[in-house]
Amino acid sequence: MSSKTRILKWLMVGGVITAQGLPVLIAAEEDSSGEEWGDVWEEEWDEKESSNWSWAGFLEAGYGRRLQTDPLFEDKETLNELRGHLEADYKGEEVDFSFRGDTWYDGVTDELELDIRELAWSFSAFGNTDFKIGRQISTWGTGDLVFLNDLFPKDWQSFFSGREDTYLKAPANSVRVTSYFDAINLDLVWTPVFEEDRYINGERFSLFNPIVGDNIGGFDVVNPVEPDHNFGNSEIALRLYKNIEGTEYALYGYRGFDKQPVGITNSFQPTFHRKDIFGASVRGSIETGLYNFEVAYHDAVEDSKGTNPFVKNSQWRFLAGYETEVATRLTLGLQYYLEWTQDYDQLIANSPFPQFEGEEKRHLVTTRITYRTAKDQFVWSLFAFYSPSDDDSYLRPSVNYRFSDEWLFTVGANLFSGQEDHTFFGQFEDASNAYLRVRYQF
Amino acid sequence: MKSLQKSTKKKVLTLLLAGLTAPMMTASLHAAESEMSVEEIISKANKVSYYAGDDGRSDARMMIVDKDGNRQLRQFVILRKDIKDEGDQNFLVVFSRPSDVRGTVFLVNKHVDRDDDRWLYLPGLDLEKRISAGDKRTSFVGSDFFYEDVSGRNPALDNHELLEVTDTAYIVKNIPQDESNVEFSYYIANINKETFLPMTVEYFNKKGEVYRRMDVAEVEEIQGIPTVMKSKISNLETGSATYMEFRRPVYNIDVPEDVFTSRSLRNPPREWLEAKQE
Repeated sequence: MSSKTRILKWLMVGGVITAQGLPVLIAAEEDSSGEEWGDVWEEEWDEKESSNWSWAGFLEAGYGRRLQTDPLFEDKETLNELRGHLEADYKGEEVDFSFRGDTWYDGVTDELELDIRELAWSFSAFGNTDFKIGRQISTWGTGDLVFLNDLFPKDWQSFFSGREDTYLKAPANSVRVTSYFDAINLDLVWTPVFEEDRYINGERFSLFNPIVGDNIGGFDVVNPVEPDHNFGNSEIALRLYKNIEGTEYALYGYRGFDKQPVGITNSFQPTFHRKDIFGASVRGSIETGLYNFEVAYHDAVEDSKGTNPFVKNSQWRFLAGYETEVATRLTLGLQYYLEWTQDYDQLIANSPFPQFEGEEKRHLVTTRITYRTAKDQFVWSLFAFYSPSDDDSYLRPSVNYRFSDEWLFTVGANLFSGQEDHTFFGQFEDASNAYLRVRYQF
Repeated sequence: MKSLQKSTKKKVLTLLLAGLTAPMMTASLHAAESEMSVEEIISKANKVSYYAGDDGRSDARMMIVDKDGNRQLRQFVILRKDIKDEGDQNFLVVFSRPSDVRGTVFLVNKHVDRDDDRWLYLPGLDLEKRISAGDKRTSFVGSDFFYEDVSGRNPALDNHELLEVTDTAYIVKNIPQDESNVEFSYYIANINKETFLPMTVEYFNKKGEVYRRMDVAEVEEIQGIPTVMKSKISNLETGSATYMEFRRPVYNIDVPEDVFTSRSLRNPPREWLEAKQE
């Protein structure tokens, strides 16, 4: 089994049993399985390895197809790739180093891709502060696949095409400083150069365009004007948080931009407008379940009155969620989410395409149902988004099968449906797909 | 004749007395032991099983073997601190193998009077996932061990009955007060008289059959504390079994309480997780 040399420094540094450790053996009363034991533990602990380095990775093949035809795409393939993932960590005396990288051949775009997901240095100082500097993934907030205060980059192309959920989070080059105080903890993520989402751009899935009044795509059709690369345009995300008797409270702040090019420049190009966010959340347990509330105010700095149709208006966002285990190994999560666009009358009055504007209040309900078989060999999951105001939905069924520590299988689907072509999920109806992934990890 | 009778009587009396005294002495010995109520036995067993020392760390690994002999491995370091003996306690579990759980951290603030607070840190997503207290009798990381086997079942959830006292063990039957949230109808623990460690536990279903079984295979004395080094849980229904082994356990290392907070999810405290070199 072990051609792999898994090395974890935590396990390695010691290696010597303590002085008391010439142990007195108390014979077990009945050890009917004595021989079996020796057999099971034939594999030695990796204790002789004394390296500070550890590594792991996987190879994965993924294939997915559209379940219907999108006239903008000749090919029905939405996922067709062979991917290698490697992670390496160095635990030093003072500084740790970490690397996570993916390289894959993408058969849909016919390109060889490389994505460094993490390349960072970590260290602690002042006893209470952790620093992580470099390319990294950051996450916070209480929503399940719903983001109010988490403005860290997301990869919606991966998410829609059936890559592992992990790939929803995209990396950014950031400095993260987390300080722990008795009164409160402080978490700061500074991203000097704005890092946008990997949004749906037409290359893999088509999207609705109000000017055309229809979907566009077949290639990358979004060529946005990006914020200038200067420190004045950096992103700053701040979180203050505290756990009081098992209830987690947090305050959030963000200074940056829309993460997707939902704005339009004066020369009619898509762009990212300035955005400030203030928010708060609470998460805790009630009875045998978990509840969460989160609120955020998205301030459209460049259009505070909401009269400029080229700038996405300010929004209040609310989230309430509850999750509980309804039966053995069967977990149910429910969320209600509201996006309340401010100055909506101004928006409609000034919009060139009022018929394609979203509702003033976009209501969204989500459900996550997860069933694990005994020993987690199969994990059945259904995540459903449904918007009663947009009358559209997005279903994400999947089954994970753990054949062994090495071989993992996943089948799933991304099913979009809507009554209208321009709604949030409705526009992706032709993107509905089913996929299969096979992973060998080492 | 009279004297003979007398002497016989005397003998008989002596015999009787001797015979009586011996059982009486034994009885008094037994009395001393059974003076320990079943609640005390269970409480002591709970203490030595889950509250040894004030805190501790150990390497641990599990080998999960299914009925066809296929094996899976889980390797982790476990760190524990008791807030109060037989009361609240904290656990931090940091996984190193296999690679899909590598870097995953499990934090438990265990409470006796309310549900535990549990978090799982998923490094790939940088996600601090909170886990509902829910059913503790579900698989611990895909093994035959339940969460409850790792962090301990609250003895107050069961009624206890001392079935038998043998030379070496207390045999205790444990009946759940609320049968609706457990899969067993009762379980019988064989608790070692000397160490108070349960050496075998058999779980019975409604038909009165054993369907699940825990065996301790090796106990070592670590810093004077008898410590289970190897144990096994067998699922007799599926033919699956999980072998758990501890390595380099250490007690009373004075790990601070603030190690068991969210900081350790993103930045596991190596200072406390590493086995110390002497």
